[in-house]
This record gives sequence, C-alpha cells and structure tokens, in this order.
Amino acid sequence: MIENLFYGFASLAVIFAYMVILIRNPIHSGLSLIGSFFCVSALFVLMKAPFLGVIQILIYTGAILVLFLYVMMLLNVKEEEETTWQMVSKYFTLVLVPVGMFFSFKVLNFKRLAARELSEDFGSVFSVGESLLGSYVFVFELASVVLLAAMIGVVVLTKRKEELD
Amino acid sequence: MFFESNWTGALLRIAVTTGFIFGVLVYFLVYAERKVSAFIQDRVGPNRVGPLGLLQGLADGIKFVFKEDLRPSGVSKFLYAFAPYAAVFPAILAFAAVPYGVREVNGVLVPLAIANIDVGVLFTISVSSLGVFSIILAGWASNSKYPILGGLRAAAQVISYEIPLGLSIMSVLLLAGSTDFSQIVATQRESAWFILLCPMGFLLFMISVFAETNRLPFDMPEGETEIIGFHSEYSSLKFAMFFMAEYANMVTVSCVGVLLFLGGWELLPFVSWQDLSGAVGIDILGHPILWFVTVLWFLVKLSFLLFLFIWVRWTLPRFRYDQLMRLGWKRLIPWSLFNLVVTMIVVIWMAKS
Amino acid sequence: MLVPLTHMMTLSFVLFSIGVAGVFIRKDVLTVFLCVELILNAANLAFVAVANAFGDEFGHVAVVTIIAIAAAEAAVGLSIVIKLHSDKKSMKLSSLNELRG
Repeated sequence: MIENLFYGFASLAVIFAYMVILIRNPIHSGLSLIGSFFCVSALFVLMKAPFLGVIQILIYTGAILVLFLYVMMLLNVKEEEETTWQMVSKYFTLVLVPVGMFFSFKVLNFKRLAARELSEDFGSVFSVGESLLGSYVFVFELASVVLLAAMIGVVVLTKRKEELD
Repeated sequence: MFFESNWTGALLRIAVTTGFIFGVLVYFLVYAERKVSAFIQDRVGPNRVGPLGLLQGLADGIKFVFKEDLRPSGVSKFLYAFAPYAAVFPAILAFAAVPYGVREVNGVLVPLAIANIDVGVLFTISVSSLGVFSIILAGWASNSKYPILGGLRAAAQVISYEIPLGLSIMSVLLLAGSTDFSQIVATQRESAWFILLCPMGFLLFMISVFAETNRLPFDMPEGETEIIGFHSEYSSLKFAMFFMAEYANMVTVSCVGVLLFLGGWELLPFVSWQDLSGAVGIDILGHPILWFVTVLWFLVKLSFLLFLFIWVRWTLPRFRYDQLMRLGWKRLIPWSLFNLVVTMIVVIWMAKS
Repeated sequence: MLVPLTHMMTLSFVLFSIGVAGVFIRKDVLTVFLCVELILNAANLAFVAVANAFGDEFGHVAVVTIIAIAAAEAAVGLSIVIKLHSDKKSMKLSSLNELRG
C-alpha cells in the first residue's frame, strides 16, 4: 500500500514538475509547482517525516509560493513568447530525463552502507526539535542570522532612493 | 463501524463530518448570522420561509443554483473556474485533523476525529492558510480592475495576520509541550484552561482569526458596499462556493480556538468530567454515551465562539486599510512576540521549580 | 522502508534535472526562480530519503535549514524582481546585460 502511494505521488510530482517548465504562462507554472510541492510533502509523510511534510506546506506553499503568485499578480506578468530553440530544448528534456533516470538506476548503489533501525519517534516534532536545538544548534542559529540579513536586505531594497538619504 | 480505523470507517467519518459541517453548521451559522444581526439592529430577520424562517438558507441555495453563471469576457478561463475550488478545498481539508470529542475504548479515552495526527495543530493552520491562493487567483483571473485591487489588498492582509496568529498559537504549543490537539486538551484538564493561563494569547488569536477569515472589522477583502472585493465578478454557484468557504473557515478556526484555549470537550475550568461523575454518581467516562455528551459540549463552546464572530461583526465598524496594516505589523506582531517571550520564561521557570 | 533508497534518490535526481533544465530554458525571471525552488525541493527530498534510510536525523535538520534559507532567498529575490520591473519594464533575463560579462 505504502509502496503504491509512494510511486503514485512520485509520478505526480514529476508530471507537475514537467508542467512547470513546459507551460508558458508563469502563473500556471506557479500553480503546477504548488502541485509538485504537495506531492513531495506527501512523500515526506510517507518517509516518516510528518513534521517536515507539514512545514513544507506551511512555508513553501503557504508562504513562499503565495509571495511568488502575489508578485506575479502585482506585476501582471504576460505569457512568455517562445523561441524555436526554447521549444526544441524543452521537449528534448522529456527524452533526456528518462535516459538519465535509467543510468541512475544502474549506477546508484547504496548496498554497502549499513542501514540503522528507526527509533519510535523518529521524525516527530519532538525528536527533530531536540536535534535542531541540541547537536545542530549552530546551524539553527546560522539560519536565523540569514533570515535577519534577508529581512534587512529586503527593507533596504524596497526603499526608494530619496528615503534612503 | 464509524470509529474503526479502516477504509470504510475513514470514508464514513469523512462523509459524515464534512456533511455535518456544510449541511448543519454552515447552514445554521448563516441563519444565526441573520437572526442575530436582526436582533442587534432591532429588526425581525428572516421569517417568511418555513417556521421562524428556518428554510431561508435553503431558498437562498436554490436561488444561487438557478442564477445565471456569468463569465466576463477576457478572463483566464481555467483560473477563473479553479479559484472557487481553491477556496473550498482547504476549508474542507483543514478539518481533517480537528478532534471534536472523545470516546472510551477499553478504559482509554480516544479522541474523535477524521484523522488523529500528532502534528494536528500545524496541519490545520498550514492547510487553512492555503485559502489565500483562491483570493489571489480570483482577483487576477477576473480580468477586471476592482477585483485585482481587492485581491491584492486581501492577500496582503491574510499574509500579514498569519504571523501574529502563528505566534499566538506557538505560545499555547509551548505551554502544552505538544502539537497534538488531544494532548493540548489533556494538558488543559491537568493545569487550567489556556484562556486563563494565557489570556493575551487568546486575545491576539481572536483578532488574527477575525482578519484571517475576512470578517468585520477586517472585511477589506469583501467590503460589499463601498470598496469592491476579489469576488465581485463571480455569480451563482461560484460565488456560493466562496461564501460557504468563508463560513466553513469560521467554523474551523473556532474549533481550533475552542481546542487551544477553551479546553476542548472538557467540562469547565478546574472541573473535569471525572469530577462530575463523582458528584452525580454516574460513571460518565465509562458510559457508552460519553462521545455524544462530549461532542455536544464541544458544540456548545463552538457556538459561543461563533456567536462572538457574529456579535463583533454587527457591532464594530470597518477599519481603514492603512489602519489595519498598522495594527497588524506595529501592534499585533510586537505584542505577540512579547507574549511568546513571557510564555517561554514562565514555562522554563515552571520546569525549573 | 519498503521503497529502496535508489528509487527515492532517482526521483530526487529527476526533479533536480527538471529544475536545472528549467533554469536554462525559461527566459522569465519569475519562472527561473520557480525552477530554483524546484531544485531546492529535490535536494530536500534526497536529504529526507537518506535520513530515513540510515536513521540519522541530520537530514531533517538540513531540510529545516534549507526551507528557512529558501524563504530568505525568495524574499530577497522577489524584491529584486520588483525593482527590476520598475527599472526595465521587462521581466526577461536577457534584458540584464549591462555588465557585458
């Protein structure tokens, strides 16, 4: 059952991802990206990471992609005109990616790496939070610095010139 | 059958819960809105269709179905048709993780919900925040100037008020030490209701959800009389879908409010069902009717919060847009951060002592 | 885990390649951004897959960090796009050729 769900969501994610690059209208691209992210978050839940699955919806789709669509609406983006080169190359990816997939099936081999047993609460909010604020607290703090820098950067970027002086 | 954790049970739960929300709760909420508003404005309200005007909602529904489904020229066809579904889908899905009562199985209390997941709070908040897509898409797809302005306003409002909402919920999660709704209710039974422990969090939560669900005094997205909202180009069933999604969202956030701050299905502050069984002499916790009693009590609390929504709507005037943004960013966010920090200090202090 | 790690890594690889192809093919700034998000998400998938296979929670921590950084990147990137639109009145990447690099 879980296997079937995995392959179903995986193929949906790939189809939506293809639509992102095949469709010319940026808003439709954005919507298919939302579909792809939904499938990936379902995959997270299947891979015993429910917290990440929810965070994916909360931040990626609920915040980042909302911002993207908001900016698209604000700037009233038009459909992109396509050159022949773009047309050819985007359909070429439809061929190229399965070929790469075939080779990755052949090449990738994780048999030598030893798998460990998953603990009972692996991937729960509690255990992820504990490692986030325990062994990896430096990464966590660094991310907060990045966010603060981005916040200041955005405020400076969106100010008009006369306001800055 | 209904409560079993197999496919039939799950499908039955989904069907019954969704049917109950849309068929009963939303229906009576619309009716209550009209009756309460009539009472506040010293009118009679709907009284023509059926006894006490109870069938008015049905008549309105039939009117919506038979109206002409207009599509303005030059709209983006797919997105114009898709936007109402983008409003209804999160409104239904958000309820999937909300528990609404308990029942007793072999001496253990099991919460009643479509799905009991341990990230329930996060799931509900994240899914209900997806409703903003419908606002953006409806505004953009209508190919008209007023809806796009209304859509921009509404989207900015909903995104802004999500921050104080998340921060005020976080203070509750800190107090309970869990993201599971039933665990949060259990913590409230053992300590006290979080509205007493954290009244400021409740206030911030309520203000933010008023803005999130586009209710007065923050109904900028609609503002049907003066400023025109994002769904002005919609008619007939498509408009009805936006309308129902708004009321369903109200029900969902009120459920979250009841569970996080008002003790869920617990009896009263400091008085649990256990105490009541002791006083009355009937073992309520072990009684087979327990699920009915708890669901009913949950509905009583829910209707109190929903009444609050209606009461505020017909009492307060609307904010101006810049006032609303100033309130969100310069008042609510700093205050909710302050609330969060104070809660953190209290939690750490309690853990130490 | 029932699904072999190879399959999950292949899925991650496929999503990654589609994202990279999109960055090269599309000319619209915003769509290129969307493709970058797709790439980041493919990386997240690989992290979670490995974390799940080896029972190590570093993968989850990495994903949380990546999501935070993606949020920062989106905010800065979008404000640059808005500036660009008001300066150039165009959303095409080919209009950004002043440095002649």
